[in-house]
Amino acid sequence: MKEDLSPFLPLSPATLHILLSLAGEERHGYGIMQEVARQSEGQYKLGPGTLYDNLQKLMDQAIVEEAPRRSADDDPRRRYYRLTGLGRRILTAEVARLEGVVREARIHLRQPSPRRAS
Amino acid sequence: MTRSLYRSLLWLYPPGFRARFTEEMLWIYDETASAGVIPLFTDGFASLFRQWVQHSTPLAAAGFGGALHMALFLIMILPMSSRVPDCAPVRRVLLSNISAPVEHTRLSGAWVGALRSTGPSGPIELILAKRGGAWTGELYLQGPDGQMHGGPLQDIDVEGDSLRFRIEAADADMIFTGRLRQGRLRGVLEATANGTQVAARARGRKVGEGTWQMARAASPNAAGIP
Repeated sequence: MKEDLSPFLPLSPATLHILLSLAGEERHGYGIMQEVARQSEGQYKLGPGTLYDNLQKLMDQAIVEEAPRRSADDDPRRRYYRLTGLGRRILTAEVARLEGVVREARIHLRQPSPRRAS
Repeated sequence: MTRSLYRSLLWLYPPGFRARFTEEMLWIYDETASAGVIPLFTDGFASLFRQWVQHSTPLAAAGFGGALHMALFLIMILPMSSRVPDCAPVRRVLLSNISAPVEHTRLSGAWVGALRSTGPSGPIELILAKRGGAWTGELYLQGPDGQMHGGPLQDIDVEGDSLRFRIEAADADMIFTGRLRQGRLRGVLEATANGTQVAARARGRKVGEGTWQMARAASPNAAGIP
């Protein structure tokens, strides 16, 4: 049976960027902020408050989970986060939805509807 | 000084969020403040507002009122920060505003974790978990003999932010009484070993999901823990 992910979609911009930043590898909070800035070429900047608001929600929904620390020498304040299986499926579904939006947008932008002669 | 203000801002968050993310947010502040603190404060206040709106508790108004007080105070003080010789008045204002949320800190399932101590008598490890609505756990500490002492927690009593439990082991009886405050667990571990009663203050802090670090505070009779 196909999983119904519609309750999670569409994702907010912050959530989408956070999930995208975690799609490749697990990251700590500051790493997520840096990756979001890199992916958006500096156009979208997450502050720590917004980041952890979203991370809290995503962890409560089991979309993101905390990953074990990489080494004992790591700064204890630095915690790592990663996508869960559910998180990856939601991100995939959101990307598919956005692809549909972009496809529609391209069609309409290339072929403007004919104007009725007055 | 702005770091102290940012730390104070974090104290205004709901207790659960504060305990979970404050240390990380401060770390990010340390990494990014050199590029400018105004965006950090703006983001912090927006996030604070969202957190209290999500927490529809009776304390929300008090907490947000405190935040508003602080925002107005910051607006007044930030441009003049170089002319403020002493931040004691700032602290007074902030403490009066955060008192209500702090006193309502709750122990809950979110506080599952391990406490580790590196005291003079060796490490202490405490596992405390809430399963199926009931608290369970174990505590072990390393005695001077190098052996681990302890066992399952008994009579775990969690009320508000207070935690109390006892351990009846073959070689030692222990009672822990502590409180979770400001994201840290502090308390006293009293042990009776071979008819001698000893006690040590202990404090713990969360260092990762499910992991707490516990350190023994100096105490005249702390070294006697078995």
